[in-house]
Amino acid sequence: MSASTHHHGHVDQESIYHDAVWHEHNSHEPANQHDHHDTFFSKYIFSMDHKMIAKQFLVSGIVWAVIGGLLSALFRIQLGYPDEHFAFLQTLLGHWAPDGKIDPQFYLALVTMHGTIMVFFVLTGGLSGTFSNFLIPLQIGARDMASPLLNMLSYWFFFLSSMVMLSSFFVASGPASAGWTVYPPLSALPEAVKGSGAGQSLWLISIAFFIVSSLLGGINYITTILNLRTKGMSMARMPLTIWAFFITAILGLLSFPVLLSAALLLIFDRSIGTSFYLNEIYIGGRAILDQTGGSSILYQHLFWFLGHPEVYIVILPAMGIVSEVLSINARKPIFGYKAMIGSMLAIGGLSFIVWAHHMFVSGMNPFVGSIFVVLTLIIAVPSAVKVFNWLATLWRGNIRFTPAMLFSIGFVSLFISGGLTGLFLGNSTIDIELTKTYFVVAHFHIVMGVAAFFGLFAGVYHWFPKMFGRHMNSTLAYVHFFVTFIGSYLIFWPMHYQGMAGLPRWYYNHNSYESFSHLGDLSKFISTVAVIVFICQVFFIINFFWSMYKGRKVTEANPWEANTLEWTTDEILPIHGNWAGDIPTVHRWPYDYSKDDREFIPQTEPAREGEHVV
Amino acid sequence: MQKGYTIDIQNQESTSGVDAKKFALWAGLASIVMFFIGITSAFIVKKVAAQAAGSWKEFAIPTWFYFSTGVIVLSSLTYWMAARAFKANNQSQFKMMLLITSLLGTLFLVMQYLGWGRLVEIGIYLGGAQSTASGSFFYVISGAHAAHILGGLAFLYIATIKAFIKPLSSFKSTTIDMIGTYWHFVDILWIYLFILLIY
Ligand code: HEM
Ligand SMILES: [Cu+2]
Repeated sequence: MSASTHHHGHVDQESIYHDAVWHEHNSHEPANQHDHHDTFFSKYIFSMDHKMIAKQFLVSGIVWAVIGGLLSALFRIQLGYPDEHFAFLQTLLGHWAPDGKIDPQFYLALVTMHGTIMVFFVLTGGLSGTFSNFLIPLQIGARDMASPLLNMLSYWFFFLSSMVMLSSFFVASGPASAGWTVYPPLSALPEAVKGSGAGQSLWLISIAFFIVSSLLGGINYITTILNLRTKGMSMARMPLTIWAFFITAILGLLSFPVLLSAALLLIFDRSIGTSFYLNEIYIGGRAILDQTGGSSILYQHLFWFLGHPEVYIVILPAMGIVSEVLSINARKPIFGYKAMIGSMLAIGGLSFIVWAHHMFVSGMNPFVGSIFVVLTLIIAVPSAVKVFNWLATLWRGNIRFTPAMLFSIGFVSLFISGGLTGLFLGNSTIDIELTKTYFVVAHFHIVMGVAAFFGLFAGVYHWFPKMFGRHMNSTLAYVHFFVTFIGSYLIFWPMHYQGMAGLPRWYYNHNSYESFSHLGDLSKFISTVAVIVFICQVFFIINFFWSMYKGRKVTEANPWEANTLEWTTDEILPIHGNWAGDIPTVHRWPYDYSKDDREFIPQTEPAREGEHVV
Repeated sequence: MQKGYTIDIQNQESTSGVDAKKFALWAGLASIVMFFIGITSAFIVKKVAAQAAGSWKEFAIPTWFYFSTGVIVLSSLTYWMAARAFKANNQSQFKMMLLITSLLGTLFLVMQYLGWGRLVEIGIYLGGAQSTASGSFFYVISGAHAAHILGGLAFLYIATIKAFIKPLSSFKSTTIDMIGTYWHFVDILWIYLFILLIY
């Protein structure tokens, strides 16, 4: 693609830095989209264009989601049919499923890796990585991130981290098996569970790289949002997506380093023989440690200091996407824009002081526990504000039921359902009964897992035309939505009941306990639906990759009739640098829908005489 | 027709007036602060609990660490002088002060190393059967700090070498400011950590 051969001959060949700086001399002709020195590597692999990096995160996230989902299908087969043997399991897992039955230790590895992959690689890297990268420069009116180089490195650390995590499946002792929270002493001692050998070491290395990736990304997002907004784009005119990514990045910047410190001390305990977390441990009646005096509770504090903000790191970007999509497709301004920002800030702030609600049964002083109860329950207030505003946005809207809209409405439903069970768990007296049961599993899958996935789907269906210049197929998308939405409720709703009946999480075989054997049929039902919902994700996968090449071409610049800046680029697929000419100037907030008899008024449109603009 | 504007991705003008690179550095420092808050709060909680249980082992901090503290403070001072020489366009002093700063930074690491050696001599170990929480924390905290010094030193060395072979005008003042911010930061960080460790 040598530029000197085509185009209008005005291209300045002396670009200082091919990928980053170039000159365009004629504003009336299409910009030089085929950047001259682009090779396959500089364009697709070592790209510094935020849009390409976003796609890298997205495709990696999808691959991880398939792996993470497959793992859950496998362990659900074990939980639903604990007494049966399946030949294909042996084919697939080899010695981890002798005679077609999953090995108990490997069951723990499956659960651990499922959680790790979903929380970190899909719903943090895949979700925030994709949409922060794609939307921040486009929606605030910047040519790229503040540092395209750091941005590229952020992806490559993510990739490295992914490879290390993936490799842990192939070590002889199996991947990490101590749960996604990797509590010591279980995670520190290979004598306790096989996965705490080499697999756990790889887990820790991988997470360390992941943290570096998150920090590089987050620093970039914050810097870009604060420093590179276009003229007129005051903070109070930013789309809620950008506010969400901004607060998410701050949470990550302040909480991930604490996880790194927790991991570092764990690494020392595992390999150097320190005892930060370990104390007088006996396995099989034998003391297996020389050193004493550590406290495993210390790890829990450090972990949850990240862990709780992390759940909001996962959900906030989804909230931002949903707010945007709901407003556009209800053809109404978002209800309570300022309250939306305020509630996100409140949630972000509170998320740093509630971590001990994960530790009510760690032996903490009940008085301390009650303080955390109060702080935790306060989070319900900003959460309720958001829910109210979403519903009010929908109220009497002129709703367009696009696939993105359906997933956004689904998100609101899930967030309400899962948020309500949070109130149960936030009360320590109730939590002491319910903790470590399937009630908790139900709570966080609905409010975080499925809801955040819905935010991800909404984002993909909505911005796919901007990413690839083509539309996804709506019929496939509707099937995908209804199966996933109904299926998710069928999977996770009954788990509340199982949890109230006392069924503990992590257990390999529910039927081997007299008290829980009557729940076996329910488990079977859940497993069956889970496998169906997992398989139905092919509707999305096929649609995604097929539409990338064969989807209906986008012909209009602004297919959803939205107000934000990403739809104002000169080309449907923006060049590196986003706008071929000057960056647009902003004159109003992004939510002028159905105003003064106008369907929508883009942010770039100046205020008319006497018009009041935000 | 020759309108001619530049699409300059690397150097878009900042809307906030703050230099984006400097801002990014401050954000990075915030994350380093959180890392050390994590580790030191673990240290404090552990120490308080162990002291209450009477199991906290006190030991005499080797003098090397007091010397190194002096050295790192001094290096901040010499860097400050280098930055001043840069503003005054005084190449020879700039060069000298950068070199001295780099050497002092290196000396700091050497002294930390000698200090750790001394700890081993008096029976304070990082890990193993004879190790204690007080000792382990001392190694990990000072070691993590040393890793951050190493990062700063890398930039100092590059700048020093450049100062000896290139004219002063080839430096951007942003670079000088940013190295300074980081170097003073790891200096102050050590003072905080050291006070915490000897207290
Ligand atoms: C009203 C709001 C909420 C309250 C009061 C609340 C409360 C709680 C409590 C007390 C627990 C601990 C249960 C236990 O282990 O015994 C918990 C677990 C959890 N919550 Fe929430 N929650 C709320 C919303 C959310 C949201 C919005 C998310 C994520 C987006 C979330 C994600 C999680 C996760 C992932 C866990 C389980 C972690 C684990 O043990 O593996 N929660 N929640
Ligand atoms: Cu929490």
